[in-house]
Amino acid sequence: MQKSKLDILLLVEDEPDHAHLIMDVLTEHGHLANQIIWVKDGREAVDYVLRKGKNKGRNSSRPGLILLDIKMPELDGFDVLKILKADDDVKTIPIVMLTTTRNSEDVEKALALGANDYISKPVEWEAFVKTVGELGKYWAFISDANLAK
Amino acid sequence: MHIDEENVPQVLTPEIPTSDSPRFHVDGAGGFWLFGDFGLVKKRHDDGWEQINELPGKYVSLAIGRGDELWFIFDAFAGGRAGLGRYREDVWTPFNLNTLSGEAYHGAEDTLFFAERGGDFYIVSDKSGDRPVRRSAPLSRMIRFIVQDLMGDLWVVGEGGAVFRYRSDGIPPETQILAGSVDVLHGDRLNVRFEGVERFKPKAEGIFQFSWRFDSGPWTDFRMPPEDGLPISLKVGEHSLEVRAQDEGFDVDTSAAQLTFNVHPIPLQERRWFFPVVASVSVLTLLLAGITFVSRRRIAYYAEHLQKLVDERTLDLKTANIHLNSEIAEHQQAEKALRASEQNMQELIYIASHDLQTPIVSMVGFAGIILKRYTKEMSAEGIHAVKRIKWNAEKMRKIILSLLDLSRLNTVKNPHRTIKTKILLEELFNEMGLQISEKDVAIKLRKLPDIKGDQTRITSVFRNLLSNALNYGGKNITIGFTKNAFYVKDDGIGISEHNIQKIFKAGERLKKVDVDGVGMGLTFCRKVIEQHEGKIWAESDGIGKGSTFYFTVNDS
Repeated sequence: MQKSKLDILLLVEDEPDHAHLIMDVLTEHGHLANQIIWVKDGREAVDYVLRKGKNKGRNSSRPGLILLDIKMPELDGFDVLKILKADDDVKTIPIVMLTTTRNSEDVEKALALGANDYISKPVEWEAFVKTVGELGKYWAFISDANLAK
Repeated sequence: MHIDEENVPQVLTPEIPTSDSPRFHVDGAGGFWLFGDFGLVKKRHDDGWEQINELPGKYVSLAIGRGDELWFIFDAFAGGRAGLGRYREDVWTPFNLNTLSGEAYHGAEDTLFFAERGGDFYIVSDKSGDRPVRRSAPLSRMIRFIVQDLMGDLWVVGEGGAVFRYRSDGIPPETQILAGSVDVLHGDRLNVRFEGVERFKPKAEGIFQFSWRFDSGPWTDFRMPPEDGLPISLKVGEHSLEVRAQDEGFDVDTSAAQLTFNVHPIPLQERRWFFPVVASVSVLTLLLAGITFVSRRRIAYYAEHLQKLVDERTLDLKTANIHLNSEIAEHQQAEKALRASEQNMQELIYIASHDLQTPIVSMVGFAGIILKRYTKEMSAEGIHAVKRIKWNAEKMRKIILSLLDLSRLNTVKNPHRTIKTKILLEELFNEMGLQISEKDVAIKLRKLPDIKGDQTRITSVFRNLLSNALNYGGKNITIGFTKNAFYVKDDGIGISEHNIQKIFKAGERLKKVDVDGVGMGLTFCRKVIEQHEGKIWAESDGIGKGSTFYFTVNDS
């Protein structure tokens, strides 16, 4: 039976306002995930997923979906993508890129590096929620299917 | 088949000397003679061959028998002398006469004639005594042949048809000139000779012995024939010469002998003026050659001068080239710098647009939260103000995105692929679904061909055109393809004739209406279409009558 709700959704976003807004809208539509974890940069995101640094020995389950911003200081979205998709244990976690611009090259690059999908940063919030919801369900299903193997 | 063995030729090799190149044979003069090269003569006797080498000449070209005599002509060859020779009773006798033509003829009663090249001939007969008698032909021409008729008259046929008869019965027989014709050349000196006149007893002083006339003119008497003959200069054409003897107590045939002449024009090279003219031409040619030589020197001088000029210009050119090269290097440097700065500019625009987006996303987002959750606590004016903030932030976002698109047009080139236009538009309708449903418009999609191009940008063109059609008040929009052009037609506000040219320029906006449009959209479209080797244009029947935007791709 397929899950319709993610356990943990990891939001990687260096811009606090954007993180605030995204979490706000995701929380408002609370059916998307049980828990939303927000990390402020790429390094933190990698540490969280791979249970490194201060996340060493983290007990919580791994995220069911990662919303990953592209433009970040230090490790940017592409770097994070590369690291996570190179790790056999976590590479099946679906990653959705967040883009600010309609820059097709960024999208293509991200998809080539293994990103599972992308969405533009919200201006139309309803559309954003709808998209995240659909993606979340889809990737939760795929993710479960992979874990069941 | 029967073979008569007696008549089969016998091989006589041992007896016949063949190694000395026998050239001809003569049967007569008491034997069978074999003449070989270099004067080799062998005589066949009953009991074998006798070699006879002691010839007066070395190279016998012809031999002819006469009774027990053997007469022969030997050519001047290998140091020998030319002439006529005779062999009689084991004795070789040479007669060193003029060069003979190598022709010998049998006449009647053992008479032999040997022709000379100059037209004279020699007679060997019983009357001629121990040596051949020379006879001068009437014309100084080569004798073709000599025959003696049954009456004993001698017929000498010269080159060109002259016939001369020596009468054997007349006294003196050789004075007669017989009717004949001859071809002579204009200007030739015609020598008509009279042989045998020495037999005439000179008459008393003042009495003429002969008469002659030319072309049936008056007779001219003369006493003795001139030694060189009659000097007659003839014009081209036919002439006749008659000569008769005057019988003054002598038994002389006084009938006139007639000779006809056919005088031909002198060939070019034999004409009197030929050599002077040739000489003049030669001199002229030499003169011309001289002039040419001088001209050549002059040309050489000019060529040298020209070469100098060319060298000078080449130097100038080289100098200019060096300058040019350094200028090119400077330009390349400048271009490089320009490209670098352009690159920087692009990066700047990219960063700026991205960084500018970030706060806008926040502005729009938070304004949205206010409008969603706190409208109850706000006055109508406050709500309006927040709406304006949100609206303007969204507009700013669009401007920034357009700027970004435009700036990336020249720097980023995507590969051209086959675009399924219909699918592209259906996806675009999905993407713009909200916008379309808000405007409450009817969109018709006609049949569209697939094209080759940059899918992302062609999508942007359609997005822009469709967005314009929505924003400028259209309620019915048709997208189709006609006459090799895509079109997006609306029934919106239309475009005035004045504006129709301006709309594709950056930043132009037709009307300051409060719509979601950005003027840069059409400029972007124009650039994309130009990169696809196509054209984009708009047509409108005027304000309020809607407008249609057309574009083509891959025109070439």
